[in-house]
Parts: sequence; structure tokens; C-alpha cells
Amino acid sequence: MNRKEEYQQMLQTLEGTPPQLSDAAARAKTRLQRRKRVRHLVAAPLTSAAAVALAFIMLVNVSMPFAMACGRLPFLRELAAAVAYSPSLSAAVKNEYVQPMELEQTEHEITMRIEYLIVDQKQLNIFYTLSSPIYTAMDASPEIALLDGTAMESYSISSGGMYENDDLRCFSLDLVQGDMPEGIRLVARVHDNGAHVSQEPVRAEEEEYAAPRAISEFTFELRFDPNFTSKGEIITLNEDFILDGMHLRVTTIEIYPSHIRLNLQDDASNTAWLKSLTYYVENEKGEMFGSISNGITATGSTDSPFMASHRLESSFFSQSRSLTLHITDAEWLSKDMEQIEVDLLAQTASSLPQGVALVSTNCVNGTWELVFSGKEQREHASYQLFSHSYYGEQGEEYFFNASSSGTSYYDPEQMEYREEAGYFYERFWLKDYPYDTVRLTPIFSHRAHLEASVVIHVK
Amino acid sequence: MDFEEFAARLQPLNPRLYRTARMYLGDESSALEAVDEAVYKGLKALPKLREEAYFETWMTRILMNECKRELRRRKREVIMETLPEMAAQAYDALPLNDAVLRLPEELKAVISLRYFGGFTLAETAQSLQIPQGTVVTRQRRALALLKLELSEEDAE
Repeated sequence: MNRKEEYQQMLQTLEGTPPQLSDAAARAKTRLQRRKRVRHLVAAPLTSAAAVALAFIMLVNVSMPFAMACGRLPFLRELAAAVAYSPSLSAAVKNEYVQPMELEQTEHEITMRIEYLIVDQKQLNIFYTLSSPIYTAMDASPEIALLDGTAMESYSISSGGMYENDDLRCFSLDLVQGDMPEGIRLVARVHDNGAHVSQEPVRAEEEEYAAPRAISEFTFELRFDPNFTSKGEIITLNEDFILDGMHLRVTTIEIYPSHIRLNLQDDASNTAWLKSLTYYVENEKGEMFGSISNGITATGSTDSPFMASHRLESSFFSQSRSLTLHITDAEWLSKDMEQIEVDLLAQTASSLPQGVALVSTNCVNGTWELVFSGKEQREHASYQLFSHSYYGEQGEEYFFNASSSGTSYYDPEQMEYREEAGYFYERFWLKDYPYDTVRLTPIFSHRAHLEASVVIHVK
Repeated sequence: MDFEEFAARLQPLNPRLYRTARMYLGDESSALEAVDEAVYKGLKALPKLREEAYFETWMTRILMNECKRELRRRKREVIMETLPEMAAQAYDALPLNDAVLRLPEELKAVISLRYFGGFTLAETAQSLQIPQGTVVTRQRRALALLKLELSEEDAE
């Protein structure tokens, strides 16, 4: 089939548009009407991959004391709605664990306003708004340093989401090591995605389209109330336990207003590295605090694949007298599967992670395309199967920086797109790879559901 | 423009928006989400539409921004490599659908609108807010990379 025939075939495929398109306008109207109703504070039921049966009762409670707090801090109602996805942050807002900032700067017709902070020893959440009379689709990219301009270390920062002008947005800074300093310098670069511009922008437009450049740059010095950054409880346990036949030790549990950290130690005799857990902590009132579902779930080190620190929603505000840890599932990387060998010519693999299949290998002009299928854990949700490092036949390391994940893949032999319900496809390319076999590095090898949960008394 | 007219004018436009998004984003579910979001934002901003005659290009512009936003979001999770323009041989080696997906964004936008969405040269230029000459240049470059010989009649 030549290129034009390919094009014609693609047009034919696209002729059959999905039926959902026909009522897109009606859906938009319903959504718009819902948005215009009086806002309610919403409960955010927490789910994790294998904890659907558990009943979580961390709710944002519209009680009289909370209503009074909203009166003292006018934006608090919007803040409560903005953190509804996080039971920990919702509890923080309910308990007025919020530092008002009210810092504002304007540049090039864009105003950035830092409204609130929720900060503790290990995590900082910065709530801010962007507004403009001419830009309506703005994004801000953050950069963090200490107050004296020194670079910070061992942290991650996240931002993003789809917002309108004056919506409350959030940057989240998480310290992997060390404690929160007395303050930070935040540099925020704002650009516009140009959804609708009602007037000519202040700065001259590019002649040709380019990725949005920063229109405005704001620098804020944020100093923290030490009452917030001193909060946290560290419980030393040093308790050994066996999980799915592997020996582990719970060294400490750290309880902060924003999250709980479960810190583990590995045993050299184990035949697999722990990658992730499904677990929860329960107090004497039956309240349950499960895995973080929106944010960092675990951290490790570059020294080994073992994930040493795992995160849960916080029990800090629950005034729990006793806490018990329950572990129900675990994900592992077997030590004999840190690398697997794929025969590119024969299209075979020495071994593969649970639920993963090698779909195809195809070489064109020295670039190998590999396609793997993975079983979905949740509908329409994929996960990473392999890290981006791979190794040649002499042991030399390569790195691919591009991969894609989707619900279908193109079969060049059958010349059609193929898909299977309940599966996703991960593809990546090995450019100018000279060998017939390659060693890949799986993210995990297998998952285990425990018939009997591991139960550890915390306090 | 009231909702009834909005819905009526959207009806014939939706398949073109979908095809454009489908080519730009690479899969059906992402394309449907992008169209849904664009329709919602269009309805929400409808009072600000000054010239009703430009409704179609206005909606298309909103869609393209949603598609770009989705690509930027994906880049935080999985990097989809675009090939350098000089790598003509690399494009030639790929199935056409994959080759389009791996075009540089500014070329992919023009191809998606012109040859899959069925938008005219003028509509494409207005939707992307670039001169018509730039559209012509970009579509020529993209078709050369894709080794696809299409005429203006094929596009419209």
C-alpha cells in the first residue's frame, strides 16, 4: 500500500465518528448548569487499587465551627473545594491549619496572588490565583530556592491542572529528606495558552507559532509560621514482619498534617524488592487512612529498586489514641527479573512481568519498535511497564527518552489497528540499536494479594 | 447566539473537530475528551463571541488549545518523541498514522486541520492565528516529510 492509499484508508476509518459526539452540546449545557449552582463542600471518597471495599470516612464536614471559620477567612470555602481531592488537606482546612498570605503582584496585565499555605515539616502546598483582563488560559511554572537564593535539594514539586481565571490553584512541594526551612523563594513564570483573547496582548506576537513563552515572572518570598512547620510525630517501631514470604522491618512511622510516612527496611535474604503497597491505617474509632491517591505514593533511592518510604493519608487531626497498620497487597520486582532479555528477531522474551505480553518487535532503518501489552488495573488506566534504561549484548547501557501508551497499536503485517478490552499497549523505540537481543528493566515482576492482611500495631 | 443555535452550528462541525483531534492526539478517547472540553469552554465563553460568522474557526481554535494542553500534560508523564525534520527517512519508515503523530507540533496541527479535519486554508490560518502563507509553508514541509503527495483538492 502506498502513502496515498494509507491516507485514503485513514480517512475511511475516521468517517465513522463515535456516537457520543452527537450530544456533546447537551453535555456541555448540563455541566455548565451544574457549575452555576451554589457550591457545596464535597466529600472526597478515597479509593486505592485494591481497597475499594474499605469505607473511608474522611469528610469535609460543614459544621458550625467550620462555617464560622469560613467567615473569618473569606477564601476558605473556595480552599475547601480546591482540596476536596485530598482527605488530608481537607482535614487541615477544616481544622484551620492554614496560613493566610495575601501577597499580590501584577505584571504585563497578569495578576498573581498567593492566598494560602498549608505547610508542615515535610510538605508545602501553595494556593494561588491568576487573573487577567486579556488572558484566559494561563499556566504557571514554579521554581523554588531557599530565601537566600541557595538551591534546595531532595524535593519534588508538582503543579498543573486546568483552571479558569481566579480559580484557586496549587503548587505542592514535597521534601524527600530534611525538614521544611523557615521560608522559600518562589519564582513563577506565567504563560497563556491562548484559548480566547479578547484584546491584543501587551507583548508582540511571534511571527510563527511557538510554544507559549512566559509573559510574566513573579518572585515571592514565603515565610512560614513556625507553629506549622514544627508539627509532626515520629513513632519508632523497629518491628520485623513477613510480607508475602519476604522479611521487612518497619523502622518508623512519621505522622504529619499532610500525610503519613511508613518507613521500611529491606532484608538481604529477600528474593524480591518491594515496589508498592496497598494498605491503610485504622484508629480506635474505625476511621481508616489509606494510600495517597493523588500525589507521591512512595520514594526510594538510586542505590536499589527497593521503595523504602510509603505514603498514606494523614491521621493527624483525628486525635487518634491508637493506630493499627493493615497491609493487603504488595507489588514486587524479583531480583532475578531486574533485567529481562528480548530476542528482537525471534520476538520472544526470557520472562515477562505478570499480566504483560510481548506483542511485536519491528525494525525499520535500524530503529527497533517494541510493543508490549499490559493488563489494566483500573478501566482506561495504564501504568509504566519498563524503565527507560536498556542494555546491549556487551552490557553497555542505553536510554530511550520516548515511549507511548494507548489502548490500541498498529499491526504492520495486518495493516490495521488492533486493541483488546482490558489491556493497554506500551511502545518504545531503540534507535540505531545494533544487536539482535536487548535487556530491558521491568518496573515490577508480580503483584500479590494477601489472603490474610499483615497487621502491625503502631500506637 | 442562544444555546439552540450553538448546538445547531456545532452539529456539522463536531465530526471535523473530532477527526482533527483524533489525528493530533492519536487515540479516540483523548480526542473525544478534547472535543467535549472544547464544546464546554465554547458554550461557557459564548457571550464573548463578537462575530458569529467566525463561530467555526473560534471553536476550532479552542479545540486546538485543548489538544496542546493535553500534549503538555502527557509530557509530564510519558515523553512522545518528535523526530527532527531532517530525519525524512525515519518518517518514511513509519505507518502514516504514527508518522503524523510524531511530526513537530506546528506541522501536525496544520496536517490535522487541513487533511483530516477538512478545514480550508483560511479557516486553518484563523484557527491557528498564523498567516495563510505560513500554513502553506508548513503543510508543504509536513507532506514532504510524510512522503505524501496531496493536492489542494484533497484537502478541501
